[in-house]
Amino acid sequence: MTDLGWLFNRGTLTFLAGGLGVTLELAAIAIAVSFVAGIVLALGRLSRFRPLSVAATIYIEGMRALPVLLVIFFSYFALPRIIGVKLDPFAAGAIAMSAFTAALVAEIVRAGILAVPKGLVEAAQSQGLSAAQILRIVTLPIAVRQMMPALVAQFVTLLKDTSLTAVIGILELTRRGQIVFAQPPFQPIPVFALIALVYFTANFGLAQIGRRLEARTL
Amino acid sequence: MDWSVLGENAGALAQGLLITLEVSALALLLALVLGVIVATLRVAPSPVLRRIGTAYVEFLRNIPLLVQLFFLFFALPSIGIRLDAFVCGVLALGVYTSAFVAEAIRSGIAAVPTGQLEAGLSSGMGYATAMRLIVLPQAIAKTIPPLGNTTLNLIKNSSLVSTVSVLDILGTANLLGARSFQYVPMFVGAAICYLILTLPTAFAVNLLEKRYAR
Amino acid sequence: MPTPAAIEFSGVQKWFGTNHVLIDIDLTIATGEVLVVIGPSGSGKSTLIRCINGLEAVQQGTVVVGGKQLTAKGGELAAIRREVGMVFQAFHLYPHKTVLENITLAPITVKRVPREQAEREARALLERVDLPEKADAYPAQLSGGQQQRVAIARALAMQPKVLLFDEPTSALDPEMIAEVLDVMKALAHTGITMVVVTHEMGFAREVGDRVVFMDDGRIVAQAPPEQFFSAPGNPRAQLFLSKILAH
Ligand SMILES: Nc1ncnc2c1ncn2[C@@H]1O[C@H](COP(=O)(O)OP(=O)(O)O)[C@@H](O)[C@H]1O
Ligand SMILES: [Mg+2]
Repeated sequence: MTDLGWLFNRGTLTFLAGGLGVTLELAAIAIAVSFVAGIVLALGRLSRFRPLSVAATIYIEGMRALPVLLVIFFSYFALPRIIGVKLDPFAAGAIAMSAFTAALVAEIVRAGILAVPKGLVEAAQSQGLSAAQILRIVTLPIAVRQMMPALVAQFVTLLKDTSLTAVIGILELTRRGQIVFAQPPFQPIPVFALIALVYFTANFGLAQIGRRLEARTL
Repeated sequence: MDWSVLGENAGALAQGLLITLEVSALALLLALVLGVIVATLRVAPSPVLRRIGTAYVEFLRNIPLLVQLFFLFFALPSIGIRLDAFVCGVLALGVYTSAFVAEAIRSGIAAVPTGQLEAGLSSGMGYATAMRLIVLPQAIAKTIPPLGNTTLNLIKNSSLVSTVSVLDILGTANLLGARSFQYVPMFVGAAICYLILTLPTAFAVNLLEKRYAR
Repeated sequence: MPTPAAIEFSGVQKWFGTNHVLIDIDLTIATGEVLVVIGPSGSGKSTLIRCINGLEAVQQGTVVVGGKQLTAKGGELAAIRREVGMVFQAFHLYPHKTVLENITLAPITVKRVPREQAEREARALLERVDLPEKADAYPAQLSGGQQQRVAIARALAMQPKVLLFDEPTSALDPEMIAEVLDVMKALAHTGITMVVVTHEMGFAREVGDRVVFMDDGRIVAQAPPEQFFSAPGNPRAQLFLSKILAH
């Protein structure tokens, strides 16, 4: 391994950087969707309306009991047969990552909501705020602050898990790495070292952002 | 959708379930052994040892398991190390999980008051003996719930071995789904197999969590 | 002409499960009255005042506040809560909001008061509780006594006709009790109706119009403070008084 010019050249690096772009795009979509869907699922599970809370609980516990790779395969191969619409790999991957992560986020949100002191809600009630206002202005903001560390850990897991979409052919970082080392001079080790470093840096960066958010919330 | 494929292939799925169990059990064993060693490094009195332990954990935790598995399967042969796919699966899964085991044990040890170690040392025990006889047994109780969760994740993560063509639950479902074009029933069958493994484990973890809470 | 009642309990019963916590409560509180509620721990004082703003629902009997009856339905409850302020033992300030935001939150969101006006009024209230410089602080940066004074300002921001206090000084260090009681005493002279659960007998004597003594879910004695403290007229009240006055 003397000359690494085959790896460290403009073309190859651009190709791999594009893969990182896809990885981050997939992760960003899944973070955004799963955050909103996770809150909705958590509220559903906490709802006093039985059918809703049962449905949310089944979804959450079911997802949590399954491997994310199964969810990805299901989304790509099986879901199109159920909904009758063909999905390209990226759409299938984004759906799978979002649907799966939403269940885990829901549990984090639920724990966060349950940890909000009851007295704060009563203080808001006694001032005449409606249930929806209390949720939006008091409960959720306080819950989200408390659950920041767990959420960030979950999103680190998500960022790693996006690598699994390589197996349905999404040209994200891992898949592109495979493509690079499958070409002459067929040297996988430098490629793996490079993409491992990239993942490590991205995750470390995410954890750092998380730490900053935590610090900002007193 | 033809659900009869599920009945026809129940035997194959059961075979896959056994493979998943085998991979998971062996990887768990490896993860526990490595995890205990690394956890000990992470709380060692020597800063160098501690740094090695921390590097090990951070490195493995922040790189996708799939990348680690592919490294063993695709990259090692280029330097003449050729391992069977099953072995690669067990190694990757075990080593990756060992980082989480180490973290669980470390936080368990951190939760044992320092006075306990000091009491052991001052009664004439060496560091290793005091760790083994006094600190670790107490830490293990605090470690059981997070270890349970780690085990649960390990079982789910074992599905990655299907990407290097091991015929575990997911590998089997994928293969038979492609062959019969009956993906929906095959993946539902696979999901049921995973639930058979994970739901009782999750239930046990919940019980332990309640028992060891505080 | 008798002043109209601010609050009226008639034949109120309340249970928590099988625990009968409010028994045969009949109580009329006049507009502008300062009513002090005392009694042993667990006797139902908190539950009693939490029924006034619907934080607890009664199972039998009625509670009428400002002519509006509390029912399980929302409409009247919302109207009542707008006119009844509450101050809690543990303050319950919103930790993620500044002092000013804590005070303006309800006027802006519930009463739709314009922000500038709400902030102007909030600053005036902070003057009143002697904390004008803390407008931009967060609750965690304040002492307990300061937090409780902000909580009082927050309750006043809705311009309530009735203020409820549930042991407002019980969580405070002794040196901070006086600063909160001073604010409450000043309020008592403004004509606002106050229902105060407290064991501060000095406060009761100085500004209380009537003392109500609860025991095991019942109101077992009530009288103007001077009369109550000299002759409570109930052996349990006598025993209770001798215990807390011994401190
Ligand atoms: N949310 C609740 N659920 C069940 N029991 C309660 C609840 N709140 C109060 N209680 C019970 O009601 C009784 C009266 O309580 P409370 O009104 O808090 O008394 P006080 O304020 O005089 O100490 C007590 O026996 C208490 O245990
Ligand atoms: Mg009370």
